[in-house]
Amino acid sequence: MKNKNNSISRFFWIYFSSVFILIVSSGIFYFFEQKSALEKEEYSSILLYAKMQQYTGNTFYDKLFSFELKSKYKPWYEKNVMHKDGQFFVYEAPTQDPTQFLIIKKTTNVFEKNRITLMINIFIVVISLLVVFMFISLFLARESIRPLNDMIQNLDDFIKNLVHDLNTPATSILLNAQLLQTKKGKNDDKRIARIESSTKEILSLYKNLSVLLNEHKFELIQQDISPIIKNIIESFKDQHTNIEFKFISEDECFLKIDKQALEQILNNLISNACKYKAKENSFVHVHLENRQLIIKDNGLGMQYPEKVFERLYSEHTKGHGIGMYIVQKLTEAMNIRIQFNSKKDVGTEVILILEV
Amino acid sequence: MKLLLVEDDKTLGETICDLLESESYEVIWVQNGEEALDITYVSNFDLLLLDVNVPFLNGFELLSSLRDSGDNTPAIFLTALVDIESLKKGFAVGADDYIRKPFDPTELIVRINVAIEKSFSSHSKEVRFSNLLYNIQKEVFYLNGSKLKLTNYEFIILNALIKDAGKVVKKEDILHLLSVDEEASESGLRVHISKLKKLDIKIENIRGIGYRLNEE
Repeated sequence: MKNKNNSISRFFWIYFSSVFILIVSSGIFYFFEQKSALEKEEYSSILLYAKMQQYTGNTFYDKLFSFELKSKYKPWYEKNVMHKDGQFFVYEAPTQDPTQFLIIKKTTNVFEKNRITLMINIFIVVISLLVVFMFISLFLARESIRPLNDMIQNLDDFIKNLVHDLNTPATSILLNAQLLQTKKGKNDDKRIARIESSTKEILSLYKNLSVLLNEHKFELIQQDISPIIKNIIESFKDQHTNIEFKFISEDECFLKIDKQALEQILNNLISNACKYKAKENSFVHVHLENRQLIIKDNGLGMQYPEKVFERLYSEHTKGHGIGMYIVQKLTEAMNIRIQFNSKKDVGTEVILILEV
Repeated sequence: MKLLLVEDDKTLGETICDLLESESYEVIWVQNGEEALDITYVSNFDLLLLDVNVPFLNGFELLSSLRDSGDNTPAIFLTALVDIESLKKGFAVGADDYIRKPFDPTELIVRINVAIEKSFSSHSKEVRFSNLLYNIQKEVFYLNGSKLKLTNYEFIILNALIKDAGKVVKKEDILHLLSVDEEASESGLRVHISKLKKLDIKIENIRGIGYRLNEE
């Protein structure tokens, strides 16, 4: 949570400060541009005034202006430039008489007023743009970390579930080991068997995780897969006495396959069928026919079967969303096509097409 | 002492049963919330041990509906959920204790005993009220120091009365406990009560409401 807010604020400041620099600097440039335009306006109004004085023989009146005639030597190279002198713009205009100059003064009041209005307007526009972009930056910052955030959330749930799944067999190993030490009761063989089955559970979790991390090395060997399937179903039978297991198979089915990977695929598929079994009369039927392996159950099914292979996707609190993802990875690696049909509260059917 | 264990993992369920049975508790083990709810309708337990993540009706929902129906059997959650929110929720739905997996077997036994003792408002293995003494572990009543021989029904009635000693226990509540074992009727209950009274146990009949265990 703290990290999330940190990254949002970092993204925000990156977006916002670049926009800030852009807006403020364009505001400043615009201000200087407009200011010099205002100055030009003043200049041309003074020129116009000078012209009017020339035409009218110095009788034209305007309350903003004042003038006086001065005899003054002015070298030829000195340009007639308008300059600011205190509260006035001053311009020395030539007259018909080359010895005389018309010194025109115009008050800067109007110019100053315009300048301040300009400044205020630009300031208001800049601030409102900044506010708008502040919200946009905040929105963008949130949006940009959203996928990351979702992933972190998923990983968090995944780890939580994983911890839970490790916890149960670990508790059982610990308790059985301690029961063995107390030598109370006469169930020692059963206690050892339970330690073994819990260890297997942890081991299967470990295998799934190592596939997830791409640590599995495939060894494709031509072999009969029927006994492999049979063995796995037998081990599930022992664990789930209230589920009816059925295995219908042709005599032999030779395939070039990685035994461990096949075992893991079946383990994941059948353990899902057992985990999400029906309340009553639950069954898991496995058919091996015509190079097709079908695993069918009458369990809880899935509401959104199209999402089944998504990593970390789970519709039930007990799942962690890696089993089917691993099934997909392993089948892909061995060129096995997989079909997944599931309906909520009806059941699930997985078809593996084994044309390796 | 009869406990109900709700745990969906087969291996762990068997292990906990093994552990509790080796400590001479009677354990009924079910693997999902609905089965647990069903069995609490037909049997009374001294304590419930509940896992949270069980199918069909999770531990929280199970305990919550039991408490709503007036079942005050002490309950302990046994769970791998380690976050504080789950702990809060566990106590909010009416748990008496909350044990995180993995746990030490001795700790489990200690906590079970404490929870049962607390249901008798006691801090030890015994409950003493007036001239009556009840040993919680052995499930034996003593009157003035000598052991009482009670029938099953008398035991259930006296057990219910001593849990709320000095307070009125409703007739319906006792009948509810008894209906498990027989077609209980009020007249039948009156017979059992009068037998207990004959043993010199001070039970007062609060007309129309129920019974109260009184001090001498």
